[in-house]
Amino acid sequence: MPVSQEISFRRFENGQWQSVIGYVVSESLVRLHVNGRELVSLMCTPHELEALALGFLRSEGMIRGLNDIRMMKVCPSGTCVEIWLADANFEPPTRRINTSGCGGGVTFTELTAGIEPLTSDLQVTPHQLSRLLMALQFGQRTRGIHTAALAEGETLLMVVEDVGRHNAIDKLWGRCLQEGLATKDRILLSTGRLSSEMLNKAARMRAPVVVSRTSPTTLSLALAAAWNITLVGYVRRDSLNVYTGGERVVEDEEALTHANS
Amino acid sequence: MRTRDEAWTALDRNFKLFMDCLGQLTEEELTSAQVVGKWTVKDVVAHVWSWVDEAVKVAKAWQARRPWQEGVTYGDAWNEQQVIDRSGLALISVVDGLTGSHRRLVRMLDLVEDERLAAIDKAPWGAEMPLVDFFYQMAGHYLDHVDDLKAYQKHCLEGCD
Repeated sequence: MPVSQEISFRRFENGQWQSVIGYVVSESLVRLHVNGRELVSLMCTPHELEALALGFLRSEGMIRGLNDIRMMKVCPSGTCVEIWLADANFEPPTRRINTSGCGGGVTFTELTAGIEPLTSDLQVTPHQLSRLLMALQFGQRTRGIHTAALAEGETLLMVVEDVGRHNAIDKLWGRCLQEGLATKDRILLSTGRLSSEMLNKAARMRAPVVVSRTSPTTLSLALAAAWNITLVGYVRRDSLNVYTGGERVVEDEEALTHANS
Repeated sequence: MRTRDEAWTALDRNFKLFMDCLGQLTEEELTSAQVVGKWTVKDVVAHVWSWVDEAVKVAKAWQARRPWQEGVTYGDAWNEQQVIDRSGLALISVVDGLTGSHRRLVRMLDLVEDERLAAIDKAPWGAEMPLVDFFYQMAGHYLDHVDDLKAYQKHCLEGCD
């Protein structure tokens, strides 16, 4: 199923009605079954479901890589993903915590458990982050969908979309696993709000710089500080907010030129 | 005697083949036309489901007493009754029921100890075999119905009348 679907609708603008062809985001309920048992139901964009499943399992610490997967397939209707782990004795947890994710994020792990602070010496500049986020948004065909990306330097290495911001991060990690792309010491970008669960995923990906076009939360700021993650929000063409880990954001020549002009 | 992996792979492969036969058919085609005797596709799914359910119970009670089997003959009448018992369910419930039972059967195969897999007892149809062979033969039951469903699917895709 595509990320978005074409529809026709009417728009009222400047006192006039017009017929418009546009796109809306695809959304459906998808169940993940692990070792024969339902693990979770996700409201998501039903595209790249294998990547979503992989990323979800990885971010929940249930797998470490593709070798932990014995078999995975998306059912013909596209409403479930069947996963059998190499560890046949693995029992999927039944405890679920619903989170603030508008895409129906869930997590089973305690937020701060087992994550060491990041020691990366990666450095970024404000204009670099601005350009990356603009490039990220430029690729969107429709509004109302969350995009997540992994970047290095000025390059977006991997970009994914989903109706849920949690799903987008999981899908990104899943695609990286599929492609053998390391997430460590790279920049994580998201169009969505950075809640504590999002920071948890970023920390597990060992991404030292996390960038959003919107806001963090109080808990995500506390976690970012504890894990030594650089958290940057409200990134626009000429502005951004650095909330934690400011030492990784250095001024570039562009900024100095602009300030002196 | 088969191995656990052979039985697992056969269950997975054959279930997929069976479920693939349901694709691209409309709900009407799945519930109205008779494809095997007077059974519709939905009835065939219900029939297969009943046997997977039975297999789960039998595998659990392998080499133990099976009180629900006493006096039961697994013939046409039993098969017919199982389908009738499920006839009031919606198509999606029947497909979900089969899928759930299939997962339980595969999960059971995953968890059963090696020694128990080699243990010999009687299948519901009377043949003696190791438990692992029982799993393997149950995988074969999916294939028993794949050809009928494939032929019907092909017929419908070419234009049902």
